[in-house]
Amino acid sequence: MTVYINDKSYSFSGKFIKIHKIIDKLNLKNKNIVILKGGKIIDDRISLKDGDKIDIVSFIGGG
Amino acid sequence: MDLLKIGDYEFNTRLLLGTGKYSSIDIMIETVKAVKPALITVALKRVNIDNPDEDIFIALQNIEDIILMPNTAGAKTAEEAYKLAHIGKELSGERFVKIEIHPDTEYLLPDAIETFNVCKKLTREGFYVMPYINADLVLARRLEEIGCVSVMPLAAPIGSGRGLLTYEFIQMITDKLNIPVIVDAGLKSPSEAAAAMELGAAAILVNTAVALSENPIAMAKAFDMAVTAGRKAYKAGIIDTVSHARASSPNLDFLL
Repeated sequence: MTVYINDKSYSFSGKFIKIHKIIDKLNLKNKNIVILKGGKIIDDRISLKDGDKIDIVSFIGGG
Repeated sequence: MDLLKIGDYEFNTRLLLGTGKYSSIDIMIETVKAVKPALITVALKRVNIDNPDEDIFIALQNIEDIILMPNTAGAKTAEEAYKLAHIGKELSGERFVKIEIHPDTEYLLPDAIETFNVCKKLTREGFYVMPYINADLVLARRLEEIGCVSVMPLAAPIGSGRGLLTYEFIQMITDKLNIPVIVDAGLKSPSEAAAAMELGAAAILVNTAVALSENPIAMAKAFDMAVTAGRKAYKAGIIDTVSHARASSPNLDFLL
């Protein structure tokens, strides 16, 4: 299955995958991040299916 | 002690610092440590999955007693700013949010109507809302009325280094508002920060003038000193301007 994260495609095995497993695989486990689906904040225990799109957001320098 | 009070918080410094445009995260961190600003602004961005270490939160969280204030830069409407405010709060764990809505990409001037609308919504939800605005007394008063904890009128367009172009209008706002007026954007040098403080500004937010200087740590310290000097001068009572001379020495006509 393919999940789109920040507009890039990532392949995972199985029909569904929980977001926190994706976070582990991408080495983002201890990062201060928020996950968005359709622009809304979602829990990382939610499962994603093939073709789903999420955004992972954090802080960057700003004024 | 002359503390800066914003909402329920009290700060013993009147300098706020932005975290953008530094040549490295390390230099930004050292600059923050050097001046210990009241609040530190941060922006939101998609994580670079290939280089997650770009996340500045990890570096900032090791500094004691700093409070992050997420901004809503990038928002062009009230709705977008509302979303960003909530994402920022989720990340920072703080109530502070700096509202920035600038649909105009050339001058990055704030949209007054969209700013007012989102501020009204967020103050009702308990955010400590600090809107970036044009130096507009009428708008500033309306924002105070709806519960903003501060207003942040611009000195000049963001990052322009054009200095305190809005001098007269900042004076009007500082004269009339009861909430802290924090002059934000466009400053080039510490003397301009001191001038803004002498007008009665409660604090200064600076980013570009520090981050793009040759020595950000030294420049941040210079701004910090200027802010303190300007505040002390304001509190000491600056004399009025008059059109004629006022002799500083006694008249010695009787000796001549």
